[in-house]
Amino acid sequence: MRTRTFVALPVALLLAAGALGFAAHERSTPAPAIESATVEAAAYAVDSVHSSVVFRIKHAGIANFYGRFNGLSGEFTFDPENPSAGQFAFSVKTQNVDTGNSQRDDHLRNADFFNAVQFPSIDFKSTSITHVEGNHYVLKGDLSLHGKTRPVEAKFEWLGTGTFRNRPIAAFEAVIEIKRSDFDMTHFMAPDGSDSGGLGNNVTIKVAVEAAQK
Amino acid sequence: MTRATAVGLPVLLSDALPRRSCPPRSRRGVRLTPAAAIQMSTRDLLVTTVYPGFITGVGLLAAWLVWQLLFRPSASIDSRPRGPLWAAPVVFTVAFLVAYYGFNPKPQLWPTNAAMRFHVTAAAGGAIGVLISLAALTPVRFRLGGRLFRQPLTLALGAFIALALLAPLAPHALNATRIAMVASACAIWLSLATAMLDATAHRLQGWRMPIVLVPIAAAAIPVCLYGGYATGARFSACLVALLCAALVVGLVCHRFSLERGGVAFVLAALLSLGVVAEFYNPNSRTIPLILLGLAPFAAVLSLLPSLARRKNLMPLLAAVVPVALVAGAAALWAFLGKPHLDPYPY
Repeated sequence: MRTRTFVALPVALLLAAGALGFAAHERSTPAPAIESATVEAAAYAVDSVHSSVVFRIKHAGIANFYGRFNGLSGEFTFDPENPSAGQFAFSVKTQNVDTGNSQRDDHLRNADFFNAVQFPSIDFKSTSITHVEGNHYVLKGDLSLHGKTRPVEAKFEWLGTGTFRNRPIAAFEAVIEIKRSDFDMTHFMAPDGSDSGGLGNNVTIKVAVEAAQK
Repeated sequence: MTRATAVGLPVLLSDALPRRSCPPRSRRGVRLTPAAAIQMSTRDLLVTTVYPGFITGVGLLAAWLVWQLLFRPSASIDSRPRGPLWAAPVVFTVAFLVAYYGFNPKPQLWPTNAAMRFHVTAAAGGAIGVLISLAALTPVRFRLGGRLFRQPLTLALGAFIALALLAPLAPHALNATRIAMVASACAIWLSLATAMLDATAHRLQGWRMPIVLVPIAAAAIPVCLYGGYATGARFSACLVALLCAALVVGLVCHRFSLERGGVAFVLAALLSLGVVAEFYNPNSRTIPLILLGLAPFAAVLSLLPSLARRKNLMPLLAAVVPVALVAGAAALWAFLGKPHLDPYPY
């Protein structure tokens, strides 16, 4: 009887542990894609080579530090005459963080910061876009970063359309302000959530996109 | 406001390297203290080491005094496990959680970021440690079943730690088969290492056993640090603080013991750090981690009958020296294999 208990107990615990571990299985959010293209608006695919994602963060409570993510991908549909129908979906690999210092980049990729192994991408998907004035808009959407998805708001500037290598292109810039603590990235942050720590809490992300018409 | 020192670990490392032709910079201006090298502000230092150490010292001492007052152990039960064995896992867990929550301004019960689930694994380690210790202390002792009771628990704990930390990596980074293999390996390692060090702890009472464990936890600091994993280095430093506090308590309470619970907690915490260092940090080197994993088994020398029976310091030295050598080799290997540095440290 006792022997049976000793056998049953570890088996039950192992099974419970396994179930708990695998129940918590969290897949990374797949790269967002536009579900349906607007009929009138032109659809564009991001030109990774001519697009930039730059971020700014406070360092040592004083300086502004800039870094970037290379290889932005995604697509959007947008018609300035009917902005509310516009849809945007972008993704960038956390592995592609680039701050001009390979060791710091490695540190940013590891578990202290982006945890690129578990969270391989940063994704944005729009929920609405509203006109402000001229070529300025407010783009709202969901940003998925570090396993958290939070609604964010971007200042969006439509730069217009043109032609490059005989293909129609379009360009815009968007600026997003986030708090990294909202995404549970709190390492080296001041306990009060201000920018006074080793690294600040507020992060400004600027996305400059050039896209070719599909 | 505390002064943040976020210059980074490469600054310290770079001072150990020969000068290369690189843009000029002030050598004097970048020299850092070890605390600064793992990006610890004064507050971080307090939260990660001083407070947990203090809590451990006071907690263990209080538990010991209460146990002495209430139970007054007599010589007739001398062969039974000594002191409140449950106190070490309980106090260690509380102290470790204080460090964890002090370190995380926005803690979560079950973080999405699996690399920050140390509080869960620590709590599990503490709970299993208490179960093991209670089984050892209960009047109806598991004489035959003691080992049968302890080993499945540590097996389950090892598997749970691996699964809790690695399951979110499936399938994009690790497939389920590999996770199962790692979980099995972790379970076996934790069970064997706990059994080994429990046997050592049974012979090394008071301040002696913490001395055996300190080199392992201390070596984990450079292993994590030179692998670019600052958080791991911090929690390793926390473990060192806990063990140092236990050592001080052991100086006062000569029959204080870390066996059956305390050892299980420390090894579970080290296993958690090792798993995250290996699988979440591309720059972590595997060989130092393996050496660190082998270090507990180096204490086997102290169990040799000819040494174990001696009353002098020989059993202690037979445990500490081999453990320190293997752990030191892990630290040295990590240091020698530190990543190439950019001309400008960050």
